[in-house]
Amino acid sequence: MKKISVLVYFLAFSLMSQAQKDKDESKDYKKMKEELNEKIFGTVDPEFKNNTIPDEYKNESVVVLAQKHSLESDSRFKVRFGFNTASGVKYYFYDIFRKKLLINDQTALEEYSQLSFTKLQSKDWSPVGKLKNYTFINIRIIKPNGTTKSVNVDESAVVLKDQKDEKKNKIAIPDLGVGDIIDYYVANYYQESDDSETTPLIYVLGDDYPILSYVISLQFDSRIAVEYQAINGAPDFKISPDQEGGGNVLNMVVKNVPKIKGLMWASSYRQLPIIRLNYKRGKIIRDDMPDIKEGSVSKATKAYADLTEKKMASIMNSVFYSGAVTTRIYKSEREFAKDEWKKYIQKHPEANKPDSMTSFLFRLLNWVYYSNSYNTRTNFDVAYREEYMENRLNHISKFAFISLLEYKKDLELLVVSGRNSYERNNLFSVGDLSVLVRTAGPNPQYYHFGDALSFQNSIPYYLQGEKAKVYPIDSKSLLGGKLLFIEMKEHSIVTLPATDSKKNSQSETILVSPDASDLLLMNINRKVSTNGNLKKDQQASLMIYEELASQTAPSVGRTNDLLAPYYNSKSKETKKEGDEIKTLLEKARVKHKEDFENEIERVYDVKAKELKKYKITNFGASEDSPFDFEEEFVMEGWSKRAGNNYIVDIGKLIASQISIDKDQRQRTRDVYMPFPRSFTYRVEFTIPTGYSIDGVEKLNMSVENETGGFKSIAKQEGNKLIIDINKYYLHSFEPVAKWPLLLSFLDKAIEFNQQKILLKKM
Amino acid sequence: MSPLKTYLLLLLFFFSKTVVSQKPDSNVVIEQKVQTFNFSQNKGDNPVIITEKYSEKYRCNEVRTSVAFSEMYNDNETITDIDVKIEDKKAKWITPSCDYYSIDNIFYSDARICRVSIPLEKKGSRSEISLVKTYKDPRYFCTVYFTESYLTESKTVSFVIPKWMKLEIKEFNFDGYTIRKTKTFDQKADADVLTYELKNMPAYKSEPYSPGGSYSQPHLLILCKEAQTNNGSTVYFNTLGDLYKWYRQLVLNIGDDKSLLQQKANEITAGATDDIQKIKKVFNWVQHNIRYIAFEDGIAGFKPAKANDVLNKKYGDCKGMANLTRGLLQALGYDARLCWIGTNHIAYDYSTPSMAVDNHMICALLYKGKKYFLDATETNIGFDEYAERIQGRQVLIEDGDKYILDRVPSVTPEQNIQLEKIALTFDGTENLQGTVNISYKGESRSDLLMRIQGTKKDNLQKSLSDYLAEQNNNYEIIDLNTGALLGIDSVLHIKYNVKHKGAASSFGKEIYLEADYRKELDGFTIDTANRSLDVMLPYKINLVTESLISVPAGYKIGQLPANKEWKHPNIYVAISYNKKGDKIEYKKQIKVPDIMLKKKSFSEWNKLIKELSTYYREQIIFEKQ
Repeated sequence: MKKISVLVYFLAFSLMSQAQKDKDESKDYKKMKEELNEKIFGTVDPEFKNNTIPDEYKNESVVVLAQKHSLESDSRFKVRFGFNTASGVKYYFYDIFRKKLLINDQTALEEYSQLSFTKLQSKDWSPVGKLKNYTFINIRIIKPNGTTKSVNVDESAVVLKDQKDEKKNKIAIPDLGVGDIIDYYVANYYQESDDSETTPLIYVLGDDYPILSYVISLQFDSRIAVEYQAINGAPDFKISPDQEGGGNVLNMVVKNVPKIKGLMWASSYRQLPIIRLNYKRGKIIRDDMPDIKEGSVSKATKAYADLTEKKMASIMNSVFYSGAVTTRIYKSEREFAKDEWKKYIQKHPEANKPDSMTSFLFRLLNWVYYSNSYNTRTNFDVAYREEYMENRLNHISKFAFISLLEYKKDLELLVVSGRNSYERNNLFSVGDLSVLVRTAGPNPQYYHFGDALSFQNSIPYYLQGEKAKVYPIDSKSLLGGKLLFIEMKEHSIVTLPATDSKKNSQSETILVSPDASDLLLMNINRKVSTNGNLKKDQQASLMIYEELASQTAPSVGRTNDLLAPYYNSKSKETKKEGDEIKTLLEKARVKHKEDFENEIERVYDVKAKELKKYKITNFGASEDSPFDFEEEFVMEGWSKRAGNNYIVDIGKLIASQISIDKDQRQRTRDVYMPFPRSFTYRVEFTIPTGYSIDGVEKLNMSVENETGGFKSIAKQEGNKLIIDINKYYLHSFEPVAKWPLLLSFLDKAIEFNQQKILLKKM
Repeated sequence: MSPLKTYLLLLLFFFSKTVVSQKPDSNVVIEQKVQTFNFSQNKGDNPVIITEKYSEKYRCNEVRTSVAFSEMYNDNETITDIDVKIEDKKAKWITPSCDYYSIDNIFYSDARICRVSIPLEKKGSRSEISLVKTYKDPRYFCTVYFTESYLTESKTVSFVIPKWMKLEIKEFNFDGYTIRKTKTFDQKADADVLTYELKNMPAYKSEPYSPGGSYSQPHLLILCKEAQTNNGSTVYFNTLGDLYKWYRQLVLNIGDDKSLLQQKANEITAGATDDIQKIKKVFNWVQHNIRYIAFEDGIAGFKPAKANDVLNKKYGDCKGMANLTRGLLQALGYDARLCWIGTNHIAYDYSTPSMAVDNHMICALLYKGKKYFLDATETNIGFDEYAERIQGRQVLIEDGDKYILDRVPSVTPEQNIQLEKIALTFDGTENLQGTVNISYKGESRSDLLMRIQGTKKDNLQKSLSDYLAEQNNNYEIIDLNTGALLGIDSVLHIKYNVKHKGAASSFGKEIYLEADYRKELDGFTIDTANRSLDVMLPYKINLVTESLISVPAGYKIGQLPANKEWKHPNIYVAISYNKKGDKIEYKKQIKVPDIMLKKKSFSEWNKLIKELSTYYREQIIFEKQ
């Protein structure tokens, strides 16, 4: 093994230009290292004393005996370590993470026997000089007989990356075996200039392994303000004054934190104990609430729901402002939209109604952004593209300016904490929120600028039925034009419309006929129609870019020729680029077949022997139209020879059903599903000539209850076996007490999956 | 996903998925590559250096893109003068980024990589990269491969070999390629110039389960034998003896602490009196107490770490583990030696003395006239059992100043037998219940243990049950018993009771049953349209299933599927159904005696697998009496 010279630290300091400086600073580094070692490993911490695990954890792979995160901000560090006294560098932080755990099996040994870390990472230059960022790591091992062995990190480490501003190392921990306890810390010393960034911290009380003692200890000096929340059953901090005076120490010791198992249909945001904290150098200003002053700590109250929503509305206001000033109040966009609307209603006079103007605008902006913005770097294999929050807000701004100023249609901003996030009562950060807009008035139309497959008047499933804060959007005169703004005071709360299981439906017609030349093969024609919230996933996995473009263009009065803008250009270069686009489109069409082959494999858990035909018959490119497709394929292995007869796995024709594992059947937490939904299947099986069927009666089954149901009705009509199947989930949320009801129909569906019929030679 | 499940997926891939491969991309081609290797004399420790210069011109055929170019180097190689040209103009703004290169499963290596993103600005445009690479030591200059990541329309590879340099070039896998060789003499340089001209070389694409590149890719093995330079003669690897001599000087003075080894060896073998018992204990101890961590670090990549260092750290690479095994056995008075060996990843043997021949080190024990080969990096292989990768391979055994050239024994599939004995009775007309006993030996045991060790303790019972039940919730495993998993016993036994719901189907007066639950190799066909390389299976398989199924009460046997047998150069399958009193005896054997499945055998293999899949689904019919 390559012995790294002592001292990766020296390497670190080679960044410095003066040799003398190197020497001084390395001394300081060494001093800090020794002090840390003394402070952490040399001092008894009662939470890290324990070396035994309770019997109930004997079978765990890893048991964390103690884990501690501590943060210290201290103006005295500067003096203590005596370097970099450049003016402006005022904040010195120690961020220390310590963990002590028992290695209880081979996988744990593999997981913890190697550790990668950044030895030093120099931060960017700031106006006040280079801000230092040092990492220290220390490891010791406690053997089963109680002896403690220190690990020489420097000797055992190798270099993974050795670049000017980043040095990564890796260590293979020597003399480590199953049954050993490893106790290590990673300490980060860093400097911050006097800016006023808010730093968030988040702690989830639960991990892959049980934790006997989970300690959080945060010390903030008198210049720092803190806000926090403890939710979903998380305990509260004990807050006491710091030693320096004027600051605070927040402490928490949580005993016996159980491990989190991968639970299906669960929400970590709403079910796990979580602590969130923001700290800021300087005071924290809160709208309609008193500031949190430097040296103060404040726990979030219920008022944080309003506060956070309002913060989002203010961000929207700033986007309105910056959007307007950088685009001359969206001048060209407004003119473009006006012209396009004019052209559109000339062709579609029936559309000339005030209500359809905003819908047109939404379609137009989406078309411009998703379907008509492409180049040689575009991924033509897929239609789906998702937007970041920043872009969503920009889209809303453009949409609102054009709608209010050109189309004279009033809008409202809706701010919602969706089911993919925290409960409204637990709002803490604007990142928890989603935004959409709707038209003002009695029959509001909803617009969500989330992705390429967002259609007018459709609300993402995770926002449906949730409480939304509604803010009117108004305009005022500014610099000879109009500026939009949010009417902060005139807000109200509404419950967003929700869809039911009938609306979110997938219906399939499956025509099956055993191959006349080989009854072991099944020829299948499958027609699928998806609606509501079930539509988008199918569209995203089956549609290609060209199809999205061809479907959305007519809705804004355009044609769908993606090559025309290139081939009609006068520039030779652009024309040539058109050839490249053409190649990309052709390649995407070839790959398109794979999307359908993959769909079949996803649905049935096996690949089709052959996919003969596939076609999207309805693209569902508007709110109410379904997404329909059709496939013709051959399946092998679902029919088996039984003497002169054949056994057919008829139950497999309806797609592989969710099977609930043994360890998931016992449940103590509520059930969070995406949305209510239903699946219907009509199977028409053609009985081959010369054969009769047996086993039809077993295909009739029914379990229906207040959570949903599974029902199938089978009958023979002439040479056809016809089975009608319906599986449905009535709600998106079920209290845990109703889990057995869900299980009862899920199990029934599995039972159906395993049903067989006999083709009997007559 | 639990590790066991991950492994299981791999296994499923092995046993039940079609072996496929991807079609190469036609968008970028290498229009021309000109590569020269020049031997020259040098001062200092490295009397001969090799300078490689090449330029590589890319053309964009369809859509603008960029080429992710990379070139590796290490402690023995340097890269200089990287230049990029776009449409014949120097692109000074494009600079390479060079860094340590991390390789999966290797803890540390001296491998470094230079990466350059070379733009191809539009359809039809051309960009070119050129560089100079220097090899400091001819010993490390072993192979030159011809295939590139892209289709190469024209390539010239030249070697300028001065008269003072003695070397031999061996050609491999030229069949099926257009390669023209010419030899000229450059009087000025007093050197032979050997040139290979290649046309339309297809792009190299890796495919799963394929043998190492040296088996299939056209390439040259360069055997640098000796140099008569102005400063005298330097012998590289003229003979195998030279290679051994060089290896030996690296292992001569490792500096192991003998007393420490003695003490540890006594501790490990405490209580054992029988020699073989002692040897097994030592081998087993190293297998399970020393973690394998790979280091590939220049010269250190060939020199074992001290045995006491490995003991203290409890980790080591193959050399460290082999040296420790040797040290412990020698401390007990046994004749243990270090061995150099090339695994079956490499197509060469020691008839061509080169550092490219071997990639591994093990320990040989000479005991009562027999050689036992101990590879402690194979954590779960038994004593005197051999992993596929070293079976039948030539091995260079240390023997003082001389060496012994021998082979690791080739074993038959019997070493790896996996025997499943099942007894089932009907519970009603559709459910079965009974007992299952499975024993795993050799690589089947090693393979399963590796999965078990990769599974978290709290999840082990569930993962193992899921694995044995093949993720089928209707196949309920009760009272799963694995006995001792580790230890020096080389057979692993698993025993459980099973309740298999819906195993059979009843219609009217008849019950239909598929006798085989696992259906190994079902669907394991090879995508002949897209596969270009041979398939190399992980190990020699020998699966035996013996089921006794009781005829359900009130029923008689209506029909049994006919017995069948398939023979193929790589696989033998025999399945039989026999009536034994009121029971049916179902027997199956699948043997894979040869793991290298050649392309020419694919269609026969696929035919066999398809017939087997259909046959697996044939039904036993019971009729009501």
